[in-house]
Amino acid sequence: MKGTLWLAWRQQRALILTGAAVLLAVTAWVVVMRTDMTGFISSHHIDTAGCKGWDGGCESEATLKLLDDNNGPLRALGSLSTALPVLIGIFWGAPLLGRELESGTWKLALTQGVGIGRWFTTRFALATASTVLGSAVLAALVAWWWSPVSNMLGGLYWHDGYIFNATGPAAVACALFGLAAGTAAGLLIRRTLPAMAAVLGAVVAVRFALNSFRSDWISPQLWISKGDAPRREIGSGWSTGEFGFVDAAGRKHAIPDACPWGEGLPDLKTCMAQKGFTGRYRTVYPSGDFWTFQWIETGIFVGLAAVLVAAICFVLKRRPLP
Amino acid sequence: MTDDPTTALRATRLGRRFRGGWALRDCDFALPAGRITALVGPNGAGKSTLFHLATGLLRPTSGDLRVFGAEPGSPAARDRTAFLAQDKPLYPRFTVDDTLRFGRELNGDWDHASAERIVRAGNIPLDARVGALSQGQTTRVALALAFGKRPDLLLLDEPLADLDPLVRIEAMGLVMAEVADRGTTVVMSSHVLSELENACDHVLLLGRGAVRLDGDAQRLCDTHVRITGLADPATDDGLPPDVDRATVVEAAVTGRQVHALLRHSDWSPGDPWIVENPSLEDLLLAYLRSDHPAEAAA
Repeated sequence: MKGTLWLAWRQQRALILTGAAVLLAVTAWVVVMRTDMTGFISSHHIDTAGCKGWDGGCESEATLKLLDDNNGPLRALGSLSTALPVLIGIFWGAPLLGRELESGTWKLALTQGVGIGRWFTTRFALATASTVLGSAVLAALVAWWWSPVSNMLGGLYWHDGYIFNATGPAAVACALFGLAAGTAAGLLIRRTLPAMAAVLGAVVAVRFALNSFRSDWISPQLWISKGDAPRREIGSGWSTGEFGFVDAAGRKHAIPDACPWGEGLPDLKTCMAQKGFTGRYRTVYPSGDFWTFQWIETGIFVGLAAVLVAAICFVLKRRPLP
Repeated sequence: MTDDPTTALRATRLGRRFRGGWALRDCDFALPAGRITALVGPNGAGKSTLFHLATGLLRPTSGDLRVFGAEPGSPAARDRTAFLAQDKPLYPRFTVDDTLRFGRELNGDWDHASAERIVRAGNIPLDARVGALSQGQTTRVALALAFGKRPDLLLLDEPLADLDPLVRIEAMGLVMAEVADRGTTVVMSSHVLSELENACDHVLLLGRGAVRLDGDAQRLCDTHVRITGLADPATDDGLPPDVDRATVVEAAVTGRQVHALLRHSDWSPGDPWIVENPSLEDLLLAYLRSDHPAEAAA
């Protein structure tokens, strides 16, 4: 390796090698666990593909054990993948410029033959490549292990945080955001430890906000069942929690207990007729919306990361460093 | 701006303001190439600010500074300048070998043999971690990194601070030996005036962000006189009334005697006065003690 690439490697090799070792160990563990899982599925002849949703209709001792055995470890892997952007922000982003500014080594680096642009770009590029590779491998491991038992009975669903935040392009984009936020925090705060705290707060806050407002990005599907026919099962969809009755004009009445069921009360059909309801409804995001949500949040994370990188470049160009 | 090859560092109405006020303001000077300039001034005079401006780590708020005619921080200026910051920053987790390789990888023109020779002459193992070195060894590695660049302009910000006397002499000897061969221009700040006296042949004295003295060290000594004599009880400062007060840098009465440092003038003290040329240290101390603004001499 030559020039600034050598410097980038020399400064980040401990992180890269540690990360690679952890990733290798996790991969080995996932391979063992998933091999066990698929072995169990085939030896018990479980039709996982035909058993999607809460009402999958395949409840048996074997399927319950299958989910019992895998939910916990899958959640652990999902937690690791979800925490990765924070870890990258803290250990990779915050020291990238923060430690140079704190220890004064930026003066050494920037008075050599290479300019500030190449010095920063090469080091940030290596960090970016490592971040994308590491987060993509972890996201892929989550998806690979989870897919046979996905959206199944009481297992993990696509909209669970352990899965949604841990896999797909949004997980990779979030890791990039963590790196950019950590780098920016180090540059602006000029000290590593407070920058680490700042990036922890920033990534957790953005994740929390996205998890809270996710269901506002797109409209759910409206599922109406006519008359007193039972509401359509949610299956592997994501219920918004809103359900109620519709009247002849098609207006929605989000009053789930408008027609309570009990002794001495009129039956459902009579009650609905009395109140002018013609059917029942619920609103649900079908499992296909996973990708819509993923791409929306990928866009948000990549956009935030781009804004931060632009801000970093702006500050670096304007001497003095803050 | 003319690119005068005999001028290494030229400031034109140079100013730099921070939130707390101006660190440097309206500074004009031209430091000659091939010479060793002492940058002197009390703490907060703007010495470190000047170094940071000369390396491009800071940009001026007003005015202009040129390194051999080039803008500080530009590739042309960076290639010719080496800087040893006051805290002598090095990567503590790098080995000495890594540190020298850092210099090689980040500089086009790099003299690895020289850098390694300087390190070896200090008996510093190449596989030692920089963070585990003594202060003297750290200074030597930092200097090796600076000299490996083969700079035309070497900027040393308090290179001797925090060093014990033996190491200080060793470090100065190293600098002098390296620059003598190549005719490197050196600008060095230090509080140790006695050491500057032996090493430097040009002086730039800063005070409160302004240039107070700029000139050839020998000429400055020759154009100043230190006089000692009986104090005149009729004047406040003890000097005879016919002395042009504008030429007085410093005057102090002790008992019945007055000691004063004057810039050269038509006034010549009579017989009872002891007249001598000041040493550079004397001269600098007098200026540092006094609050008088002085025109650039020589």
